[in-house]
Amino acid sequence: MSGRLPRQASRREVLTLAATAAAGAALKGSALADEKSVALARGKAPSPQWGLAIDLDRCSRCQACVVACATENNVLPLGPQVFASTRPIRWMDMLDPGGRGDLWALGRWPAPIPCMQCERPECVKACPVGACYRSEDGIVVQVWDRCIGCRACMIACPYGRRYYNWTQPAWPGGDPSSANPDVALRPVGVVEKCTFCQHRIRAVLERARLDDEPLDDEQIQRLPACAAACPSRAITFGDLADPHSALLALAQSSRATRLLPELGTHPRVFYLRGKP
Amino acid sequence: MALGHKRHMEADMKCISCHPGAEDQALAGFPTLADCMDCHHKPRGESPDEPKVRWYAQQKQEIPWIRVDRLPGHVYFSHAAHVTSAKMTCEDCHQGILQRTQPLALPDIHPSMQECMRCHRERGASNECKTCHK
Amino acid sequence: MADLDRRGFLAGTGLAAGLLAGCRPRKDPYTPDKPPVPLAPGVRMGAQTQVLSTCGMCDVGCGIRVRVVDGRAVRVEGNADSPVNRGGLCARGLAGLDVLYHPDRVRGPMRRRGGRGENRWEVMSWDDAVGELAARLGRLRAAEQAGRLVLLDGQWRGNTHALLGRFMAAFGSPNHIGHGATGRSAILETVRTMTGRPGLPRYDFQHAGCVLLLGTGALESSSQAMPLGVALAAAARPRLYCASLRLPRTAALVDEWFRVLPGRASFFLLGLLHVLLREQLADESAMEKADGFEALRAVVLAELSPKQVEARAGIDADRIESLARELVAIHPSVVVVDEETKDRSAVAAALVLNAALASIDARGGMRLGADETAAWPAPTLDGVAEAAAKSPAIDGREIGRRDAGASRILAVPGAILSGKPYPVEVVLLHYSNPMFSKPGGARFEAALAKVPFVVSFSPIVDESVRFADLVLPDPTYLERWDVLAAGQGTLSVAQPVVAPLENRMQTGEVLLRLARALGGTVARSFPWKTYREAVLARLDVGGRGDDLLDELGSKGTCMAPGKSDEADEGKSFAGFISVATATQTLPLLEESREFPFLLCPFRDHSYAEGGFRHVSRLAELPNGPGWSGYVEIAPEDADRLGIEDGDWVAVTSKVARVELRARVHEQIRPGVLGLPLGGWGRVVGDLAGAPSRLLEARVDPATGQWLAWETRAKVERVG
Repeated sequence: MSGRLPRQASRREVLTLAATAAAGAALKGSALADEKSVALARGKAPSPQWGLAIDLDRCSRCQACVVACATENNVLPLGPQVFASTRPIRWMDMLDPGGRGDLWALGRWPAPIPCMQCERPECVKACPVGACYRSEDGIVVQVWDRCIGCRACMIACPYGRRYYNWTQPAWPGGDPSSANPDVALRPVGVVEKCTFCQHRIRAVLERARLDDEPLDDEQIQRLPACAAACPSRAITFGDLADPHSALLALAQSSRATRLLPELGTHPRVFYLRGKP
Repeated sequence: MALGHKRHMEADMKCISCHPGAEDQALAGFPTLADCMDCHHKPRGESPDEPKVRWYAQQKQEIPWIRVDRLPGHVYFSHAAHVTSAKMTCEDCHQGILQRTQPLALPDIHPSMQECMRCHRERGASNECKTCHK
Repeated sequence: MADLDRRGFLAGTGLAAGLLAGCRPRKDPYTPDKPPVPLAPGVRMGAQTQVLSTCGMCDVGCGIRVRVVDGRAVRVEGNADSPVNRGGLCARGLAGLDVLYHPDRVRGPMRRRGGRGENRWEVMSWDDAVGELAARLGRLRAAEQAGRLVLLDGQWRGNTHALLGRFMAAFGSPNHIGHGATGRSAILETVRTMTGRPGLPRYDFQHAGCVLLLGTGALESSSQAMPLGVALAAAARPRLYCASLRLPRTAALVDEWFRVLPGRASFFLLGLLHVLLREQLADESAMEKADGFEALRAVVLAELSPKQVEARAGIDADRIESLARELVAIHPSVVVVDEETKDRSAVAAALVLNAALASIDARGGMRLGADETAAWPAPTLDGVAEAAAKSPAIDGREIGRRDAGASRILAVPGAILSGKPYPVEVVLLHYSNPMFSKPGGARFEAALAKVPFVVSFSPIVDESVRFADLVLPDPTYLERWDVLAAGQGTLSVAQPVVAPLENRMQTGEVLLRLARALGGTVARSFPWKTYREAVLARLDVGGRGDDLLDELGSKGTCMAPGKSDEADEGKSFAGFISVATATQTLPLLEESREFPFLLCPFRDHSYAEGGFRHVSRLAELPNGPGWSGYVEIAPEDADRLGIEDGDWVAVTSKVARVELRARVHEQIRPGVLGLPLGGWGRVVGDLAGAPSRLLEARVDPATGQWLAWETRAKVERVG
C-alpha cells in the first residue's frame, strides 16, 4: 500500500529488513532467559537495576504518556514553523509500524516507545566526547553540558530514540512559568532523550534513605511520569534486581519481548503481548 | 530587609528555625512571615529595618527575600543529603554566615564543580553525573 | 557595588535581583528566566504544594493534582483518590497548563474600540463592565423586549450553566440555546423520551464481558474515553468491538471492526435484535409495556433479519448471526452510545438491544442517569418573565422547554438574519464560538454581524472575543472555584491552583452582580452574595457546607450528600416508555457524481473542550492533527486519485473548499473522508480555510438535530 515512510526509516529499514528474518526465532520464550551477557540473569547486579514494561494489550495508544513525559521534562511544543521543518522531540514517542508490515514485531498499531536504556548501548560507544554513559543502575545518561551536537549517537541508536535540538526551545508566549524546576532546559545544539525520569527516582531514593526505609515496589511501579499518567496502567516501572518486583515478573513472563533483540543491545524496556 | 544572622544566633536560634528544609529536604528554604512574626510581633532589637516585618504583616504579604545563593538550573543540590546523610554542618559550606551582621549581596558559596567532586571523592559519595545534574 | 541604602530600598522592590542577575558573566541556558511571582501569605519561597482540583478539558471531570512551585503551576497529574480516573490522566488533561499560561489570554474586561474585528480594546473595571451590560439589558426589559436577549451556551450542566438558566428565566428570555443539536442532544433526547431518565448514560466497563462501541467516541475524546481506559487496567479486559465508519490510531485494542454504512447503524443493531427475538434469547421484560413495542417486535421479526439488513447495514449476515449469539454467551454485554453518536435511531436501537441483553442498570451494562441535585427555590418571576415561558424561542423549539436537549442552534443564524419571530438585540457567548466550530459557520458570522451587541465570556482570545463588543472573561478552569458532579455519585472540587493570572472573574460571580444591578425580581432570584454560597445552596448541604468543603479540600473528591456507593444504589430500570424511535431512520443522502465522498466529521483524541487549537501540545501529538490539519482517506480511493500519504489535497463540499494533508490508511471505509474537528492552528479570525467550514448545516426538521453524516465532498491533489 502507498505510504510515506517515517523520516529515519530508510537507514533503519535496511538494518531491520535483514534482521527481521532472524527475529522470529529470537522472540520465542522468556525475554531474559536467552541473554548471555546480562549479569542480571545471573543475579550478580546490585539493586537497583531499572527497567520498564509496556503492556500492549492494555495500552489504548491514547498518548497520555507522551504528554506526561513532555510536561514533566520540559519538552516544549514547537509551533507551526519549527514543527513543519524539524523532527519533533518526543522522549516518549509512538512507534509507527509503517506500511510495510510488522517491521518491529509489535503488531500493526503504533506503540509507545521510550529510550530502551540498553545494557549495551550503541550511543555510548559512538560519542566522541563522553557525553553519554551508562550508569550502574541501568540508566543511560546523556550529559547535556558535554554534548557537542555531532549527532553520532543518533546515527548509532538503532531505535531512533535520541533527539537533537535543531532550534532553541521557546516557551509559548515566552512565558516559562510552567517550567518544571526539577529538570534542566536543554539549549539548541544538544541531543536529549528519555531518562526514565531519573530526577523522580533520585527523589524517592533520597526520601527512602532519609527515612531509613527500604524502597517499596508499590511506590516505584508508577514512578516515571509516563507510568503515573497511564489511565490503563499499561506502563510498569521497577527494579529488575528485586526478586519480588512486579516488573521482574512481567519481564520474565512469556508475554515479554524486546525490540530488535538480535542486535545484542539488551534493552531494559519490555513489551508485553498476547496470552501468557 | 537587612537581616543580621549574628543577632539571631545570639538569641539562641538554630539555623533550622528559619531554614526548615535544611535537614530533610533539598531546599533549605526561607522563613515565612509567620515564622518571623512569632518573635517580631513586638519590636525587637535596634535595627532600623526591624519594623518592616510588621509592615509586611499588615500588608498580608510575604517578605520578598532575595536569593543570592542561586544554583544554576542544571544542578541538583540536596541539603538533606549533605546535612543529614553526610552529617555535615551548615558552616562547612556557609562559612562565616553566622558572624554576619548584614545580609549577603553576593553569593557566599562559590563551589566549583571541582570542589564538589573533590569532597565527594574524599568521602566516597558518587561522582556520577546524574547524581547532581538535572 | 551599590551602597547599603540603595540596596535596602531595592531589596523591598525585588529590583536588586534583576541587577544582580545582570552582573552574571553569561546567561545560563539551563535556567528559565522567570520574573518573581508574589507569594501568598504562609507560602515559603521555593516551596512546593499540590493543589487538588478537577480537570476542565472535557466533560468527564477527572480529579487532578497540580504541583505548584513558587506560586507557579508546573505539572498537572491525576488524583489517585478520584474514582473517575484513579490517578491516571489523559493527554488533554495533562496539557492543561498550556491553557492556564496561554499567551492569548484575555487580560480583563474590555470594550471594543473601532470596528468589530479590528482588535482594538479599551480596558474597563468590572463595575463598569457589569454596569454597561446591566444598562443595556435593563433597557431591553423596560421596553418589554426581554426575549431579544439570546444566550448561546456551550456548557450543558454544572452550577454556572444552572445559574445562567436561572438568569434567563428570571430576566424573561426563552433563548437559552445550547449546542446539543450538533452533539449530545441525540443521545440526551432519545434516552429521555424512551426511559424518562436524564443525562448521559454511563457504562460499567469494569465488569462487562463484551463491549460493542457505536462510533469511536470512547476511543477518542468522548465522556466514555476515560472510563474505558481505566477499565482496561483490570486483569481481564472485555472483548471490544467497534461499529463505525473509521477507526482511529487509538483503536489498537478493538478486537473487530464492523464497518457499518453511514446512518445505518440502527439496522445493524436491529438485525442483532432480530436474532435474539427469534431465538427467544431476548429479555423482553423492560419493553413489554412500552409504547410501540408490539409494532417494533413485528417489524424486526418480519423485515430486519440479518439477511434482510445485510445490504443496508453493510455487515455480513452470518457475522450478525454469530455476533448476536456471542453477545448472549459472553455476558454481560453492552452496546455503547455516547455524545458522539449523533444518530437518534442508532441510540434508540442500542437502548432496545441493551434491554434485550438485560444490560440496563445492571452490572457490566449501561447505567442510566439520575437527576442532578438542584435544591434552589424557584426563581422569582414577574409578568415579563412569565410571558417569556409562553413565548416562542428564536430557534423554533417546543414552546416552554428550557432544557439543553430542546435547543436547535442551527436555526439561530436564519432567525437572526430574517428577524423572525423577532429581532435579536443582544447575544451572549458562553463557551460558544459558533462561527468557527459549528457547521454553517459562515452564516453564524453573518448573523452575529447583524446583532447590535455581542458579549463573550471566553478566557482566551477566539472569534467570539475578536468579533464581540464587550468581553467579560471567565478565568480558566485552573483558576476557578466550583464543585462538580463527577459521576458515580461523587462530587469533585475545582479550585484555583495559582493566584489569578489576570483580571478575570468567574461568570457565576458576574451573573450575581449583573442580577443585583438589574434589580427587581431578577435581583431577588439571586439572593446569594457569592458564587460559593450559591453552589453550596444548590448542593443542599444544609449546615454541613464546611464539612463538605473540608473533605473536598483534603481529597479533592467525596460522595455527594445523601448518596452511597453507586453500586449499592437501588435504582433500577423500570422499563421503556416508548421504543418507537428505534425504527425511525432518516432517508439516506443521495449519491452524487459531483461529490462522491461522504464527509465523516469526528473529534480525535486531541480534542479538548473548545477544540485543541489553544493547546500546542495537543496539535503536535504523534498522529495528531499537526498545524496543517488532515483528512483521512482509504488506500483504494487514494490510489485511484493519485494521492499519497502526506500530499496536500483540496477537499470541496457544496459550501467550502479547504486544503489539508492527506492521511492514507486502511481503517476507513472507501467512499468516506475522515475530517477531524477542533482546530488546525491558524490565526484567530482567519476562517476561510477552517475544516469545519466544509460541513453543511442540514437538520432533521422534526428535532433540529444536525445530520452529521450528510455532507458530501470531493477531494483532489493540489500542487
